[in-house]
Amino acid sequence: MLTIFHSLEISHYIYLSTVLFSIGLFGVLFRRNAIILLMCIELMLNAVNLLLAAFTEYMGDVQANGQMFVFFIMVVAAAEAAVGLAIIVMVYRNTRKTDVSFLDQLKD
Amino acid sequence: MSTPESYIPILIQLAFSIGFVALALYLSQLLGPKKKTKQKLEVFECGIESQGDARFPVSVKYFLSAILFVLFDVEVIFFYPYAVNFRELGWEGFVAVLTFVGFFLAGFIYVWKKGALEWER
Amino acid sequence: MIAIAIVFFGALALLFIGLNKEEKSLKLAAASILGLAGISIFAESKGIINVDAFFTWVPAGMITFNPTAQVIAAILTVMAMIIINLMPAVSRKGMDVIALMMFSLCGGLLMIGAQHLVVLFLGIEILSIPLFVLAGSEKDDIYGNEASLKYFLMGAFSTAIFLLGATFLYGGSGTMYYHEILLRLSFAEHFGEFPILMQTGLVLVSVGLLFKVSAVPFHFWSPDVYEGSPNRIAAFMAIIVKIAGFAAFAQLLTAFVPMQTWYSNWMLPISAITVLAGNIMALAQQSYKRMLAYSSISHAGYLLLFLLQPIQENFQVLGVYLLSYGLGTAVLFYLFDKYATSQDKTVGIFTGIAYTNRFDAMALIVATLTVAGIPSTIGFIAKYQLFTAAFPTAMWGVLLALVGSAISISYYFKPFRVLFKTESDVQPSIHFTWKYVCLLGVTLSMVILGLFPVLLNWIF
Repeated sequence: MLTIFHSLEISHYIYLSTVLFSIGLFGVLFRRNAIILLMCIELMLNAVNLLLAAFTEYMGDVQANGQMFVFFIMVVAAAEAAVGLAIIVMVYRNTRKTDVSFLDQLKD
Repeated sequence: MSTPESYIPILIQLAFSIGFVALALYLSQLLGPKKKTKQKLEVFECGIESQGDARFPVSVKYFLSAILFVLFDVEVIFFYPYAVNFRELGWEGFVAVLTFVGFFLAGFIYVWKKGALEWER
Repeated sequence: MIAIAIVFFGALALLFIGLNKEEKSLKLAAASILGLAGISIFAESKGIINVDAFFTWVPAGMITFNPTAQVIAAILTVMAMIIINLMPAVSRKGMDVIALMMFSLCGGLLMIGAQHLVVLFLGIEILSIPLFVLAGSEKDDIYGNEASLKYFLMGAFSTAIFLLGATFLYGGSGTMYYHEILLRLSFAEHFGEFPILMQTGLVLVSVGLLFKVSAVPFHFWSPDVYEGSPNRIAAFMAIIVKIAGFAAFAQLLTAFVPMQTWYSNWMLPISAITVLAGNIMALAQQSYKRMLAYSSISHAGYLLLFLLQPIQENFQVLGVYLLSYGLGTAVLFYLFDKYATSQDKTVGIFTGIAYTNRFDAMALIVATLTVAGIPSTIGFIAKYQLFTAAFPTAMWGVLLALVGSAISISYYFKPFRVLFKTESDVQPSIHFTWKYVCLLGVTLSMVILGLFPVLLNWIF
């Protein structure tokens, strides 16, 4: 059991976060529902949070800069989600859809 | 301070609690009496006959309250680092936290004055 | 710092005072708060006042304005004042829109002063989140809804990319302070190899910022968002976001001077494509507002050329260009807002205004000459300085930019064809209101600063 902990390198965290981030990124690029897009963006932010916490631990940063950054990201993500959901509700009231195919009204 | 070994107690506790829950569920199924009639298998809801689907659209009024809750709730995160360093930060830190709460309260009062908390409108 | 405090507390006060008031009644108050903030930060840059003693609680080195950054911050504040003053207020209760614009401005100021990645991130978010709401402030307008949703999705997406980059930079250097990153990179330079984490981090952070300033591969949201948003919000986005974004980008790149030859390799193509694509696509636009959006993309390309060279303390060039871009674009957006109708958004709206309203026609001509960079206006001085500064490192880029500028003349000058077209017997009638005083000031400053560039040396 313990050997697993000891063999975890920082690179493993980097790979894990990059994979999580990429899942979110491809979700944003290929999904159509605005709420799912929002969830994918949250996933990207959480991948970043994980990586920041890992970096702080592995570099032995006594000021814990990275972990403070995580707090700020979480708060900002909450504010962003609040605004985003409000926008989606506003769009839904006018169009009865949460689909992003609505986003091509403004084309020349 | 936090070597991987220091997580062992947590792991033991986690294994114990999961094991207990699994055991309790298994034992109650093993030992309890079973009578499968149609009425027994129905969803139980305080004696009221259940109707409709469990997933139905809720009023958008809940949404506003939920959003406001999320916004004010997450800010509490900044109190944790302050609580940990309460003594070291002294009065200066206290004033800083008070300022933070003050801004917060300004937002809350604005929401209140704006009438976002009134349910019937 | 003093400006951020003034703007923030001013906006908070306006929000509470204006709960049940019409927006028009408090517009002047908002403008004077912004004016006060602008003057105070300008005075600070000239050393007339010193308020550092009040801000000892600010964590050391996280937010530092050097004198040039202070001047750019003053320009940003004054631009916000001009936009709020010129653009018409909505007849709705509450000061939400103006207060949100001021909060957003606080974020812009924070970005300019940021010397730490967390502060830069917070600045970007404080700038953007109010703008997501503002873009959709006309709740029933379906185009406004689309602009809002699109801006939100793109903004949140670019933020996530920026954050991954910032995390990599933290992992590669172990610090988030710009000056410490510079120190680590100078060490790395001696070994000839930069850590891969730093390289990836810089690319990702740049992509996040390029989204914000709408450089070409990441520009697709901006014309739609500008077109769908209410006019004054579009002007705010085009001016404030771009000024703050480029100032912050330049500040950030000061930390990466040792990697300059490496990053200019891939930023040069981006800026060249931005210049060309922005100008060529602007040619094809029918709507004047969309044309302004594409023209702002091409300006982003010129400014990126400047960022390619190692930036030490020659921020003045950047400041002058941002000033001229801001003044010209603000006037053009104002005139578009004044004459556009819901049916007609082409250059035809300006037909004959040389006879009906000479003053507006003058302002249109001066502002167009400024954004196109024609001599005798500040736009020429700005463009000349920018291109000469960028020439040594990005020769091909500058040559392409000159071609781009030549193309830009043909679409900027479109209104001139209709300006004198119909001779109507309508007598010119100008009521000199506060708004006209403001417009006159902006127009005159574009000409005077262009004719006497010495004044620019005094400002910066």
